[in-house]
Amino acid sequence: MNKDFLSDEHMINRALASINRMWAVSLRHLRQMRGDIGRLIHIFYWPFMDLTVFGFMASWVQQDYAQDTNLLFVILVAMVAWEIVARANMDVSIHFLEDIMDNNVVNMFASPLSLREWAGGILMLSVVNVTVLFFFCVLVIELLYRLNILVIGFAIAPFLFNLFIAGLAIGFFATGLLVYFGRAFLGVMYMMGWFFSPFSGAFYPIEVLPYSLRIIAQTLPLSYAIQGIRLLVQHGTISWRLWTISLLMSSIYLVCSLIFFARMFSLSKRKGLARLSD
Amino acid sequence: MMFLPALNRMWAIALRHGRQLYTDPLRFLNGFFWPLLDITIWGFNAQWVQQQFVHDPRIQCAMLAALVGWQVARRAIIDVSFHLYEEMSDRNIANMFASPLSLVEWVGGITILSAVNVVATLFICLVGIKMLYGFNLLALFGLSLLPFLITLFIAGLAFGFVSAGPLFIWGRRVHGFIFVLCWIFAPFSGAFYPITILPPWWQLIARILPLSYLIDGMRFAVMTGIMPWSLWSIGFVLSLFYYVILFAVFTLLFMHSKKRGLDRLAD
Amino acid sequence: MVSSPLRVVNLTKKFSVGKWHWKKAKREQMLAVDHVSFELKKGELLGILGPNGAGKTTTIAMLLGTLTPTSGSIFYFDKDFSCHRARLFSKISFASGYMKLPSRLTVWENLDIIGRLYGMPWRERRKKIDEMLDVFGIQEIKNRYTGPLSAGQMARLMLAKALLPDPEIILLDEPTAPLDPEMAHDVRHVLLQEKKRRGVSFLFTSHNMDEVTYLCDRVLVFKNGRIVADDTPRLLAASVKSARLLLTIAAGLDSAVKYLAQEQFSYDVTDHKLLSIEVDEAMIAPLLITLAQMQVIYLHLQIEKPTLQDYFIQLAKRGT
Repeated sequence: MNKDFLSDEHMINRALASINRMWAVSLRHLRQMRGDIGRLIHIFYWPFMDLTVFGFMASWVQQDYAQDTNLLFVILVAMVAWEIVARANMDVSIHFLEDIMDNNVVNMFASPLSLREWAGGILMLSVVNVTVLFFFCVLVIELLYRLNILVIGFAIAPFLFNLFIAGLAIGFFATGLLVYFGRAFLGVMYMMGWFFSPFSGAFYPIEVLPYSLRIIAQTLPLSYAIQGIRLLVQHGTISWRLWTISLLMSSIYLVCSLIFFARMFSLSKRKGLARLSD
Repeated sequence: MMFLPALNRMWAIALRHGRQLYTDPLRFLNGFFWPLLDITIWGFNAQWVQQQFVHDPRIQCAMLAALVGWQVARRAIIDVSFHLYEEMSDRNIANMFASPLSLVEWVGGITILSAVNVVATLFICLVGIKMLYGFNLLALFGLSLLPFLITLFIAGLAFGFVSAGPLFIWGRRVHGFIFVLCWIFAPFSGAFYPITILPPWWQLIARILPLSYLIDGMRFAVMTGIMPWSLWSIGFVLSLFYYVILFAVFTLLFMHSKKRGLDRLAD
Repeated sequence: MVSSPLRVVNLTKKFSVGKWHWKKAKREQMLAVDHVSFELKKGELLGILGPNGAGKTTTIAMLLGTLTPTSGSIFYFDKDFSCHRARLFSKISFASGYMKLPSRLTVWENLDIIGRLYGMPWRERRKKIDEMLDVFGIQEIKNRYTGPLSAGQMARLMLAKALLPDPEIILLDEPTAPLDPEMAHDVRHVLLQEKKRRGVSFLFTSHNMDEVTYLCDRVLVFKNGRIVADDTPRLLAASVKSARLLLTIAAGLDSAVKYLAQEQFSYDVTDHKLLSIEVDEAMIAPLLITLAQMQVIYLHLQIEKPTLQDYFIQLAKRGT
């Protein structure tokens, strides 16, 4: 009882305890998803819808105008890449939103949980979500278009990783705003991820964009990774240059948005976390 | 003269939602972000397809026209269901209907509002298209596209009843479903690709819905400059048919819901 | 030297209310908590009382770390809370009668998550959850979603959550408010047992004066963001000088009433000839003598000593 409990814990024990807390956060959301059919439908429905609409469009163009290319394949792979970005982004903001809607923010943060651990838990959760999503997309594409993107999926995995990081960067930025502005920010939150989609290069190469928009796209990490993916799928060449650029940019953006998120969280505490409720 | 009080009540409903929509910057943004996003993504996609593969200068125009058609229908669908959800959110359902207001008048009010919204959406889409791709869709094809757009509006309202149905059955908590049931019509609309590319079962579903005829008609009008009245009439008849049937179903659901109490919908 | 579980020094919270102005000095500020200092001793049950808006909830929010103070410090176990928040929290927990847990998780799952957050190993966690479910009588609903629970069940669940990680200090914000009297009594008993058995310190807000009098070793009274009294409940009640004298009058009621009105006593008459007079304890004897001299005859006499409630009402009436 008289020992100073702050310093007597072994480093490994502290790290393990930290990971346990992160896992508690992941569990809290996973268990909720399991019981929430609405959320499960949303997780799979929108990627399915995107794959359907864009896939059939590409299928039509290829069939009628571009028979000797693998346009459909290229577009589908790019779509899956975008869905991963969108999912990583949503994972951060949707789960914080869930805590707001459940009046659970105080319960979560008036506890031994630190903000870093919450972010870590969300990261764990997102890795699981993105992996499941990838395999779901593989399945859908197989069923609808009889194409197998699994093999190429493993080949483009390094690029997908960069896109995952970029998605998280968007997510933490959006969540930073959500933490401060609360529920009023809901509508903008959904827009945030898709706002970047015209600049991603997933739906068309950014060369198509007019000059001013193209400049904006070039300051974002998404287009480099997507371009790298397109090169790999169309010509089979791996451009490490594009991979490195996108990794560096994504990481820098992620670090910046994590800092932003932490700052907004502490600003929000000045007004009181208890006001973030339904 | 008998209609005047009814019209007043309809206008009141239109105002009640319209004021919120057009004065709250966040709601306003929400209403017009998504159409603009679609215009951007699909427009540049079409431009790329045209430049790389098709080499027919009218393809992009045709694809954009089809997309605008879908935006009209989408807006109408969402208007019916989303505003019903808003009533429930504001715990206003009982207030609204424990009053001289009847369901028909509520729908009438929403129709007025939706007409305004659709015009605003069209305007924004046309401006977006002009700014991004440089052609003025209205000036080039306005008159021939108008009948299609009006019919798409009617079809959209009809499917709005479908999208709003679950709200009467399960209440506020299925609000996510509104958007699910709106976009479920998208693959069958022919807005993004001709429905002939769809697998057989999907094509069948697309053929019994009015959207594909109308949007195909729009694409045809842009590509060839001829007005395909046959396509339009099929679309028009189907739209009216669906409107009547789905409105009847909507009313039935409402009356059934009243038996279990409108208040429980708010939770 | 036993460290004090909680020590608060000059805690202050200012909120910006009204219109936003770019010059900070011109913004309208509200002082919710004004240089509050107190200490919670080990094994003590400290009550916090005060009218609504007095700053109680704001103070508790700051003690939980969900609200950043404008100035001042909080020390748990002699360590600065702002530096070691997450580590210190392994010994702190809280419950509120009005808060909820995620509605789409079951009772058991919610407790499990809390247990994990506090780093309880799984065997201990399972055992303790079972124990808490039994103690608070929510064993039968352990697999139900928390969404449809009644207010009373949710309040008990929150208390189970608070006691689950065997903390050394528990902050409670009106925990028994939604409970029916019998259940509230059982809960109080449980809290006192924890206190005795493990020497847990409690911080306790309530509007129920009887409960505060029964439970608390000491009471802090908040008013307008400041602590205006810090004493035991009995002594606070005793600071109210006036008692209530209840007489069932047999004869002479009119002359008694005339006299009381004339002397400006605060009194009340109900239809069973029950005369109730507010009078300083010291003046009871002289008043009875005077009434006897006026030929006022009573059948029953009852003296009601001041309670914490009377103290509170007097405080509210007194103004700042």
